[in-house]
Amino acid sequence: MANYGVKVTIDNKDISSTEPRDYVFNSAYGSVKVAKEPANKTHETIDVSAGGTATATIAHGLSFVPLVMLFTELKPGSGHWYQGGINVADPTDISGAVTLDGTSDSLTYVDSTNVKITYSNPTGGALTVKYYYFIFGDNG
Amino acid sequence: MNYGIKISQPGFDVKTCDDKDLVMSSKFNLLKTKATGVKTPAGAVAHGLSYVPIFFTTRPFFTATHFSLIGDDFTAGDATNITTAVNNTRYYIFYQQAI
Repeated sequence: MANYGVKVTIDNKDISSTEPRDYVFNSAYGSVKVAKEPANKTHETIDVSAGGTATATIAHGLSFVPLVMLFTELKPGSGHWYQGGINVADPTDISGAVTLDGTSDSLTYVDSTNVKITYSNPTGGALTVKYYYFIFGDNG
Repeated sequence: MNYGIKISQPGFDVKTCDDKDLVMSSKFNLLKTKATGVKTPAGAVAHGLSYVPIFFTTRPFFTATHFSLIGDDFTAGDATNITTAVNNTRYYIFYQQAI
């Protein structure tokens, strides 16, 4: 990179440092950027019928396949949020929880148009599931 | 600290808004990208760092246009490499020690 830009060090580090970890921000290095998350930074919900599945479709509006981070309260009301699209709840949360598909062609994925999140409800009662996502304006 | 850089989202006063309403603030460490790419075939990607870095990966599913979300693959990191398990895994490696 040419000799210009913006950089801010962490406390007690000199601005001449060549160690990237010494910087809070340094325009010489890229950084992931959040392109989309739920409106008002409030989690989304989806209703999943007893024994059924439900899919949330989020149009990301980007021209490439973005990085996506997902958090789900697999067991509604537990207050325990799990990361990822093929996650499995801790044993203490399995009872009364939804699951996600982790097969070789998962029903939870991102492509160049949408993020698709599919929850399965193996329980005998309907569940309202909370989830939160970050869609990054970067594609790895 | 009473100096630095911060930028608010549209509609928020940068002098008074909550931290969550900022686009960026030098008060908070930002992930700085070391390397990105697609690993084909699966295997080790030397990151050249002296520590286990934070990394994000996304792997293609059987339908090649479908990719996993962050954390949904079997890539592992150590102080030398991140090692992918699936061909064409996309990776992001950061200048930030994870472990």
